[in-house]
Amino acid sequence: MDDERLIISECLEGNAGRFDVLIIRYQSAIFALGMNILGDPDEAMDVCQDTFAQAYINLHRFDMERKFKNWLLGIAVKRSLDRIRKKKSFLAFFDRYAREGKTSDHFKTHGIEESVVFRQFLKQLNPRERTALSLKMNEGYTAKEIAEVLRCSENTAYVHLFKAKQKIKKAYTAAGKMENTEVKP
Amino acid sequence: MMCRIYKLLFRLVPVKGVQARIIRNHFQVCPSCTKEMETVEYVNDETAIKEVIFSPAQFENLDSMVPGVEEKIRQMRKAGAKTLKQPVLFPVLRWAMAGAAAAVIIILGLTFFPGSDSGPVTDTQMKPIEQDVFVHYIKTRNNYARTFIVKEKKAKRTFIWFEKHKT
Repeated sequence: MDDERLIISECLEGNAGRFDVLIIRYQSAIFALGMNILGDPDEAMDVCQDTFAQAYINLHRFDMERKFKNWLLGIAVKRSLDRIRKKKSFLAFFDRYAREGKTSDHFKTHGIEESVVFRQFLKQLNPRERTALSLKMNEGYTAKEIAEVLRCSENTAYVHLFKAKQKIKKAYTAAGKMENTEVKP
Repeated sequence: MMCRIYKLLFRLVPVKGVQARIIRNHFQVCPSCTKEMETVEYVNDETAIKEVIFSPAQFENLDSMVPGVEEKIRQMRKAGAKTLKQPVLFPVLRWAMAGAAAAVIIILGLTFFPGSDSGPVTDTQMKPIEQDVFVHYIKTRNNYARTFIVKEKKAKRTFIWFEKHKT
């Protein structure tokens, strides 16, 4: 974390190139979060780039006492949820591909194989539940840390996590313990 | 029976604090509820849940986003990028402020509400006022009643009431 503070200080002093280090360091984590919330690689990529751009422009507002990754994830979550609210195309996207049963070219470009399991289970959750689950599983965040990112109370984050697991359990039961299968074009 | 009640409460009460308490104090403790959660044997196994979500490790080989981010920054600066909105206060403090504001409004309402005048003025409290109304006597049940006349200072209203004498 100390080297991050150093990098941020250097950026604020005018050495913009140093910000690239932070982009490369966190791009996979932010992209994974975007994929879990939005489900579309192009949307996730857009949100990811938006997040870093916003972070760079507002770097002077970053509180050095906080973790930079938490701050970044908070921006990414907000951008993702705003996008869903505006587009409301998440379910439509999954429904379309569920019907057609083919992997989009976008997925192939990024080397991501979509799985039926993912489509079926993750779409049972609302965006905040997906966010909470993603942060818990990928980042190992506690309910308190999730609450900081989601800007809600710890109890709310805790309930989001619980409901996410509950819904996945129901989906597993309905699917009869389905194994991962890759969708073939 | 209690399990059903807790499940019903969990569904009906939208307050997250209450739901969190129900989860901690019942769902995760009650043998029958925890057993229900374990019906699908590896639901509680986080490895299984990790199969459902995307992880950063899957995207380690992504191309660098630096050029894309630089382009976004250029676009944002061209468009006059807005700074991030920060929440003014944490949610709990905001609720406390809203509650305090509501309390002040209620108190002010009670203070200025016409019916909020404090009851009849007793003999010791009554001050000499200009009277354009005189009451000679009032009797209740053949007994003389204590009579009070109060005139509001600003409004042109005079109140007359009477009470039977305490014996």
